Amino acid sequence: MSWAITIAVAATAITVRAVPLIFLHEREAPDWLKRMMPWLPITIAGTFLGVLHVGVAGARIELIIAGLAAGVSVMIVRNLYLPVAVGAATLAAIRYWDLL
Amino acid sequence: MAPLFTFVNASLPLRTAAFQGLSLAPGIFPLAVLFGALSISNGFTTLQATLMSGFVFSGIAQFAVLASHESGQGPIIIAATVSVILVRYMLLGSVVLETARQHGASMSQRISMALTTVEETYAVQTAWIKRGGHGATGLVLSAGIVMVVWLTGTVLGATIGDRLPDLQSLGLDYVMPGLFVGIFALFADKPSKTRVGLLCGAIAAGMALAGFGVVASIALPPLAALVLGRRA
Repeated sequence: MSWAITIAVAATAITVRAVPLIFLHEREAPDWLKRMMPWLPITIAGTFLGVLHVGVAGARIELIIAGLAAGVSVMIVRNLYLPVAVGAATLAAIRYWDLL
Repeated sequence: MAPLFTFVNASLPLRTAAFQGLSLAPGIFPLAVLFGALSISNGFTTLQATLMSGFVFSGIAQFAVLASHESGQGPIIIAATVSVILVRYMLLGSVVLETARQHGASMSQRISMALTTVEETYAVQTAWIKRGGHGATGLVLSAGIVMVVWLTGTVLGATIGDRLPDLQSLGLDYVMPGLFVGIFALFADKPSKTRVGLLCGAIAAGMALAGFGVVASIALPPLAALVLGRRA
């Protein structure tokens, strides 16, 4: 069963990632796609920011507090992994001292 | 002296691209270790876990595979779940491939970039371009290094995961949300984009609270980008 799952998910992932490759083969992106391109990364980032911080029912408050700490850190230093470190440390502290 | 200068000058952006890819390591490496360790405890082998990391290359999708497997789902349902989670890469992949085209990428480079497209690799590629990087080699290199880090972490986790401390007590389940905070900060380079991102975040959070987190993840980013693109 584990091999069937591995092969199925690998094939699915390759297929999904191949779609734009085939669609854009030897041609420019259409206008509608070009117009939405500048906005797509920030809309994905914003959406996942929301979903990942409140989507886990059992750890919602913990994650929101960690997210606030991470957000403050990234406002001070714009960095890709600083918020990970600050958020994880906040989460670990909450759990270690059982603050919630 | 001129050729040496040219060589050094040309290698600097590539070195920056490599460092840009490596800069993600502290964030994604623990997550990959966690995935490797959990894969083994879920009945997968080290090879299977590594293949999943190599081909699926998406933390959220890979952890969803483990969760679905644990709840007794079969390969078809799990593959369908993965396709739903990865569907956003059809559009993000288009953005990446358009960037690749502008940087003169060859076919093999475009294939490589398509297979390594995730928000994190696009973020490091964008950061590299913003720092003056140009050329498809740097784009492939930065994403390739992220992939190597991800695979190394998976193998390590699968191999010695049972001897590692409890990663949840270290707060490492915050890696994925934390990475998106960093990615958000990187993409929010204008006040208008910050506002749009925060609005999407608020709507998505509301939808997640109402139990529609998956719908928000799939539908909200392309719809919002499409509307904003039409207005621009």
